[in-house]
Order: sequence, then structure tokens, then C-alpha cells
Amino acid sequence: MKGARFRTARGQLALLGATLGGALVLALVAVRGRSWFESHVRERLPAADSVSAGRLPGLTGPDGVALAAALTDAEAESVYAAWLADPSAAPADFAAVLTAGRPVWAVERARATLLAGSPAQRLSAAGFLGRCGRQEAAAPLRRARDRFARAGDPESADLCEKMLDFLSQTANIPANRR
Amino acid sequence: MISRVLRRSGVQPRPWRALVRAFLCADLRCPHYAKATGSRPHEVFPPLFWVVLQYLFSSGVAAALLFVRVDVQAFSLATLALSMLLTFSAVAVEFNEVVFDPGDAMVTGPRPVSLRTYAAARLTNLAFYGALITAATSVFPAVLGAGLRDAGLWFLPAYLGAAALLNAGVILLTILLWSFFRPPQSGKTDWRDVLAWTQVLLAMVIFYGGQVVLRDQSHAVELFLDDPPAWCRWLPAWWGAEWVSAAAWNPRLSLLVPLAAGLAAAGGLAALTCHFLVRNYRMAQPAGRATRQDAGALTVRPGRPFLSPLGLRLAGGVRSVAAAEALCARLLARDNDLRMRSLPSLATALAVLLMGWLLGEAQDPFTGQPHQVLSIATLQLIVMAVPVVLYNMRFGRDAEVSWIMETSSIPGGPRTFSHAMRRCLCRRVFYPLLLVMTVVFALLWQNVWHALLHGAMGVLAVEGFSRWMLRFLGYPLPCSEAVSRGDIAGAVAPYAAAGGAFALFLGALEYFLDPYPAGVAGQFLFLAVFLAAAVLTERKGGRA
Repeated sequence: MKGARFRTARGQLALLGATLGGALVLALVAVRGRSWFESHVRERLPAADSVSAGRLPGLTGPDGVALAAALTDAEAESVYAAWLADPSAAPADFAAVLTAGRPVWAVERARATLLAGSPAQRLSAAGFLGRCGRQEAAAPLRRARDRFARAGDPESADLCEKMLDFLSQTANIPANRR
Repeated sequence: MISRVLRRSGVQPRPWRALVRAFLCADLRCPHYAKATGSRPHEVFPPLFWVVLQYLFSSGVAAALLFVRVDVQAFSLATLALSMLLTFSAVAVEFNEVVFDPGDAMVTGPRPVSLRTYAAARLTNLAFYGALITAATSVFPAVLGAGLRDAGLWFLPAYLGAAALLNAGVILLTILLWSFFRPPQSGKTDWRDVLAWTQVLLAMVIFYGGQVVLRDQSHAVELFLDDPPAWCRWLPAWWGAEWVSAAAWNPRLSLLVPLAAGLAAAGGLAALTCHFLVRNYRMAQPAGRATRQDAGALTVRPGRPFLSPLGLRLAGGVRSVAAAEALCARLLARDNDLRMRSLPSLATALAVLLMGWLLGEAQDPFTGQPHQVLSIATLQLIVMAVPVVLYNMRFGRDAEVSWIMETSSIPGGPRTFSHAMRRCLCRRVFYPLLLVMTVVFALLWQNVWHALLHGAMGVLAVEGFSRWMLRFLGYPLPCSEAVSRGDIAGAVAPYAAAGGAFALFLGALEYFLDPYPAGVAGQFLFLAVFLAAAVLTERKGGRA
């Protein structure tokens, strides 16, 4: 009879054991490919275009806030991508201005980068949240600090800590919630 | 060694071994899962094997999707919750095989098997089943989780311990709930047959949900897992994930306190469950005693009238045609497996519709917008499912009913039932689905007329294509063959390919012609001719 050896209770247990063993090997192979997984879960930003890059210098001061508020979601996304591509091209108060113009969107957007961005983008996003001047940015920064510390990245954890200090001064966060 | 321990515990070793072996065989056969997996107990790969494979798939895909996202706690939360859900469904579905079957008394009653031996064998089998399900749902998350950057080697034992403890809790609670609230079951409408499809549906949800997660640029899953809502903190999976996360990062003695509390709670629950289980085993000992519920189950209750006035009107007032349709509708309504086998091919259309909605890629094809592919794909996936669903109708749990159809004196002969089943499927499955699609598109596009046009194209395509397919399938008699693995998947391939080719052709027409009014008119003309040709061919061939 075909497969008679496996038609017994013992054979079936061996079959189940072999299946679980195969799954174990597959899982170990997946763990070995961690860097491949990491490269595929990163957020893909729209390519920075010249129009969005040109908007960056204007996003400063009270006029910048009005400009940020007038942006559509797609335009704001492009401006944010242009900033992430070259943070030095933006004015120092870019994070505070963009957040003042689009408070909920900006904090959530930076939070997504903090979770799904490349290591460099995560640091930029931590800087953005630290300088955005909003109290609600403190909790994501705290969680990011703990994550970086656990993942053995003390430099990024220190940066988050510094940004938390900066935020607590600019956003008027009570001492017991820092 | 085992025999000595058993003897000291007052358990008879030989009967214990024989019973454990018999219960293990019953586990492997899984009568309810056998229907959901389409496998037979005597095959080399029995139903339990397929269930384990499906659990490995679900947990593996979920773990791979969450791998290197957010952190170790979020990963543990999602995978532990999934493991608990799958364990609950496994124990609930195969409760009689795994935990307690009153029918056992018929076998063990006349034999010198003590209650203690029977209970020990039952609990051993339950422990084996629980361990197998826990292993199947935990092997991928445990190994992948140990590979996370914020986890260490301690993750592996911590996760396995937490999964074992939580799943044991789920199993014990399921048994306790069952002891107090035994769900009704009667004949062929056993709710466990439906629950047996849980892992199939979950696998689909995880697979299609994974597509959304991979394509979603708003990172909604990561944002949710980074800061879950407050109610999540009340879930046992959250407690387990928090403990695993703490143990994986910084294992310390203080973590033994919550572990001891968990073990104590599980121990208390186990003692309570054992008490109720042994009481049930004791009650089952005198065989052949009928309870009031058993007597109630035998009472014949009047059903609904066989022919409804609406059914008669839809059948053009012809009572014989209406009767054939009513019979097919009843077959479709009461055969859960028949419905569930057809569901995956239709669920794909719903999943694509949902993906288009969530990702904003289901735009109006009549306006020539850039992201319209998923709108067209939704319709064409419904059309594509027609041959598979029609072919599936050949197989059913009530295969004996085909004798009634073959020998009936209905005008048109057995072929009438084939036509009736096709109409029944169109009216009860495809058209409601097309209606849902039309309503969703009307909301998404903010244009009712365009949505109606899209839906009307679907109705014409389904109506015409189903008639042609019925002809090519040779007018099969509904539910005339017993279902088994291989019979369906193999032979349906050419028809599925034909459905795919036709749907692709219609999709291409829509993609290129929808933006132009003349193109839309041309498509309607083509579909109308296609349908008319099918009707004319049917009449020439002696349609009922």
C-alpha cells in the first residue's frame, strides 16, 4: 500500500514532527535574511521634485505657517520627502512651521518615519518631532528612545533623549510627564 | 518508568496506552476539519496534518509581515493573539475528539477500564493536541522574534513559555465554557463545521491583509502597534507580550513573579476544569441513557414552505422550475462545505475591492483616472470565479440527493436542475456580490450612474458566461458526487483558466474603452450578443 509506513500513528507523528522541523529550518533561513526584510519594510517616499524643494526655504516664520496650511496632502507629502532627502536645505524652524500649519498630519507623518524609515531618516524624524513644539510628540519620542536602547543603538537613544529635553522646554511639558 | 508512575497514580497502564493510541487516531481524523480541508481520514496526509500546515502558514505569514517592524512587544502581541485565536478554534471544532465524547462510554463501558484511566488517557491526549497546536502556531514567531534587533536569545524560551501558558488558558477556558454552555448541534447544521473554516479564512485574511500592509505607505499597522488603544492593555495577549518583551530585553529574577502568578492562575483553572471534566466522564459511564435534550433533538419541527411565492414568480410561474430552484437553494443553504468551498474564489474579489478602497486605488474607470486597475479587477475577479463556483456545485455532502434529481419526472429532465442551480447561484451569490460592489463604487466614485454601468456590465458578463460554462461543463447534476481532495482542484483547472482568460479579455476591454462613451456602448453590445448567443444555443440544445 502506498505510504503504508506513514499510515500508522507512529508514522503520522513522524510526519508532523518533520513538518514542524521543516518550519523551524525555514524560520531560521528567514532570520538569516533579516537585512533583506529590513530593506523591504522601509517607507518609500515620492521622489523629491524641484517644486517641493523650492518650497522648503519659504516654510519659515508666520508666512510659512500660512503656506503650510494651504498645502494639499500630496503637496505636503512631497515637501516632507524633499526635507527628508536634504534636511539642511530647510530653515531651522521648518518642523515647528509645518506642524503649526498642519498639526495632526505633521506629527503622524514624522511618527511613521520614526517607525518605518531608514536609520538616517529615523534620526531626522526624531529631530523633527523634538523641534515641532507639540506636546503629543513626546510619547512617540519616548517610545523611540526605548526602542533604540533595546536594539543596542545608544547614539540614537541619546539623540531622542536630547530631543525630549528640547521639546520639554519648547512645548511646555510638565516635569512629571517628560 | 511510565508504567510505574501510572500504576502509582492508580491508572491501568495497558488500557491507558490503548486509549491514548485510539484518541490520537481520532485526533488525526478530525471529522469537522476533514470537511474543511477536503481530505479523508485514511489518506497519508490526514485532516490534522492539513490543519497543522494551515496554522504554520497563518502564523508564518503573520510573523514574516511583522518581522523587523515596530518592536518586540508589538510582534509578540500580534502573534500571541493569533495563536490564542487559532487554539480556541481548534479545540472548539474538534471538542469531541480531543476533550470529551459521550459516545466513548459505548466502547469503554463493557470493558474493565477505570474512570481514572479513562480520564488520564483523555487528559494526555488533550495535552498532546494542545502542544501540537501551540507548536504549529509558535514555531515561526518564536524563531523570527528571536532574530529581532531588540530581542535576545532569551526571547525564544520566554515566547514559547508565554505561548504555552496562554494557549493552555484558552484550552481550559474553552472546556469550562463548553461545560456550562454546550452549543446546540443537530444533524447537518453543526456550527463547528463553519468554525472549522476559521483557519482557512484567517489564512486568507492574513494573506490579503499582508498585501495591504506591504503596499500601504501610510504605515497604519506600524502606527497602530506602536501606540495601541487602551483596551488592548486588558487582553491576556498584551500581558504575555509585555512579559516576553521584558524577559527578552533584560531577563531578571523579578520577572519570575508574574510568571508564578500566571502558572498559579493556570493551575487553578486546570484543577477546576479537571473537576468538571471528570464529572462529565463519570456521568457518561452508564451508557444508553437518553437526556431530555436528546429527546428534544428528535422532535420534528415544521419547516418553511418548500415553494415561496417569490420563488414561483421568479421562475416565471412554472411550478416545476420553481421546485427545482427551491431544492437547489436548500442544498446551497444547508451545505456549509459547499458554500465555504466557493467562498475563497469570491473572497478574492472582495479582498481586492477592500484593498482598492483602503489604498485609494479603486478610481472611476469611466473618467480615465490613473488608479482604476483595482476597480476593473474587482469586477473581473467575480466573473473569473464563475466556472470554479459552478464546477464546485457538482460536489456536495448530500450526494444521495442526485438520485431524486435523476429519477424525477420534472420537465426537461435532470438538466433542469443544472439550470436551476446556475440561476440559484446567480441570484443568491453573484448578483448580491455585484450589488455590494456597485454600492461601494457609487460611494467611492461619487457617481451612481458610473457605478451602475459597471455593475450592469458585471450582470451581463456573469449571466452570459455562466450559461456558456454550464454548457461546457456538460450540465452537471448539483451535488451528485461526494467531495474529496484532488477531485476538485485538479479537474477544475482548465475551466478556471478559461474563466481567467475571459475575465482578462473583458478587463482589457474595460481598461482601454471605458473612458469613451462609444467604447462603453460597444462593450454592452458585445456582452448582449454574448448572452443572446448563450440563450439561443441553450434553446437549440433543448433547454428545460
